[in-house]
Amino acid sequence: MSADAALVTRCLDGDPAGARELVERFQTDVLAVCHRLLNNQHDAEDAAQETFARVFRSLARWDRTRPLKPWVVGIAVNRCRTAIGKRAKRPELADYLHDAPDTRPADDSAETATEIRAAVDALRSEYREVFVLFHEQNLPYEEIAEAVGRPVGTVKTWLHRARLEVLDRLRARGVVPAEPQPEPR
Amino acid sequence: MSLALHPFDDSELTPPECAPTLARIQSALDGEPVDFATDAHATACPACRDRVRALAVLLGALAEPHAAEPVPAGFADRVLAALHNERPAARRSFVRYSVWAALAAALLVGAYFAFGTSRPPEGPQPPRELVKSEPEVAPAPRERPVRIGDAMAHAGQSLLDAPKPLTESVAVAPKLFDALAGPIAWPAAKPMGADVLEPARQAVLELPTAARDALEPVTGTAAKAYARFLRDLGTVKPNS
Repeated sequence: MSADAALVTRCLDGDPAGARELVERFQTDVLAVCHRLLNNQHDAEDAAQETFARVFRSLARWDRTRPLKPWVVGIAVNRCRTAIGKRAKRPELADYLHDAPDTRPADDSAETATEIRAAVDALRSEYREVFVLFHEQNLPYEEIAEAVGRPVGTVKTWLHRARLEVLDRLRARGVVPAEPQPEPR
Repeated sequence: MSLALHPFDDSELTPPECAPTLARIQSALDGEPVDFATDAHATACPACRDRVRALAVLLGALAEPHAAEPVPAGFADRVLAALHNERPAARRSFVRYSVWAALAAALLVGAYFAFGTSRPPEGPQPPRELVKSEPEVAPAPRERPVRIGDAMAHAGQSLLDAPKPLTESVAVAPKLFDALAGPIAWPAAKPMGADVLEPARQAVLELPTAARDALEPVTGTAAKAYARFLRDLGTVKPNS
């Protein structure tokens, strides 16, 4: 029996330590995905909490032949989609009421990171999901496909399009350093 | 034709001559070592040249180790507490539903005994003299305002809407109805004796076990209801 399967068995048997271990094993990944897809600390925490509630409710239906992490991350992605859908229906808060102000130093690297983040945020949701899961969560194509419920080929296509859009946005925003000019003779 | 292409196919939007360079860019972002110095197109095409430079910026930013989002203090505790609170709520909901289901089942059987025997007879009435000539074992039935057809249809629908375990638990009810419906035809041809009551009693005896299997240990309501029902069954007289 795999470590994942053993842990799930403990949870299904009602072992409180097993439940805590499962939460602690995945909470960093789940919170990171939720925070990155929702861009709001409070919403991310809510979505992460709902993710684990959903995980425990559906644990008996997890396919033991597959890895647990993409299944959990897939539930997190789904909760984020639901949260984004709800957010679209509710009145928008003023910008200054969203998250705490960004306190990162305003040097060049921070500016570049901000631009990249903005470029990723501007992607359509499917592209953003696969970009975040591949480049920030370091999930392989197969696990991303598992998480978003799409074939690997579709995931690759989405990711390739996402990358090109990010690169084109960086070019349009002038983040790319100026091309070195040839020396005058 | 564009319909033949995958909806997200890059070739729709990029010139074919850029495709090899774009493929190399994708390979670089997949983590493979790629040398663009040997890519003539990457130097000649202004768009691809810009893309390759943007790629360097993006790869540099992605390569920097980004600090993981700190987990809020007590997050696991909150998740587990919410989980703990959720389970009793679900259990309470099941108990509440089961009690109502048991009451519905008891009402169904009760409704049959209360109203099922007062159905107006169909077909021609026998001569009153003939009835009088036989020993009278029960008082004459009175007209009741209840429409038994509607009541039974409603009760039957309740059964159909009930969850599967309850449906199974009362699946023996038809036996009871069959045993009772025949002898309790109007007018009573003869007094109802042990030969009539016994099959009915046997059928009713099966109900508590089935109901207990389905509803216990959630509630003892069904068992109590059927125990009282069985206790009273012996005292029931037809048409009383």
